[in-house]
Amino acid sequence: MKKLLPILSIFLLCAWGPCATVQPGHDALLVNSERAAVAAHTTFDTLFNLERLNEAYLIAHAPAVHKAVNALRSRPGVKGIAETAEDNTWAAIRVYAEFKSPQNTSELDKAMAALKELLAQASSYMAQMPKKGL
Amino acid sequence: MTPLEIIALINALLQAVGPIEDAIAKYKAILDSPGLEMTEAEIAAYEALKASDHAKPYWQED
Repeated sequence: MKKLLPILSIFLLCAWGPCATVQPGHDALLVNSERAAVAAHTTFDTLFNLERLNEAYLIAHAPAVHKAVNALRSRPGVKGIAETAEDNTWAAIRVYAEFKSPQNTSELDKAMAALKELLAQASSYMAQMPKKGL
Repeated sequence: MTPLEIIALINALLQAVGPIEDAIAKYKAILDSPGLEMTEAEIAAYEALKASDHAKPYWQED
């Protein structure tokens, strides 16, 4: 497990920009947005998986964490907050890729900001998991 | 959210419990990209993976 930490850390660091390189001729905003969106999905997928694996424990010992994570999930036939944010981000990415206008740039920035805010909310709850003894 | 905060989040998750090798492996090729825009084929492959994840029970509210 420990070997995964540096690997995943590198992925995420690069995905969100600071060490990401963009090849000449490729749009930095587009490349970094695509990476960030994929990193966000990976984060949500991991978050939901781990929460579900430990659901009984979390309900008993950290109900706020369980409730917060559950609130991000989807319901049958209804897309949840996380899935909707992902859809909105990818829609903005595709529109921007087609036509790089100032308005589409602004819309992509907004979608990415919303996605990051969602991840920040998730992290505030998930950071409590180890403290709860998991 | 800064990269370091994201790393802290993921590290907290990894310290919690459970293997997530699959989650990492699935998206390695994309996250490890050399700084190119995704091709249509890559986007289609990613969308399929993402849709598969979204259909998993743990993405659904209980």
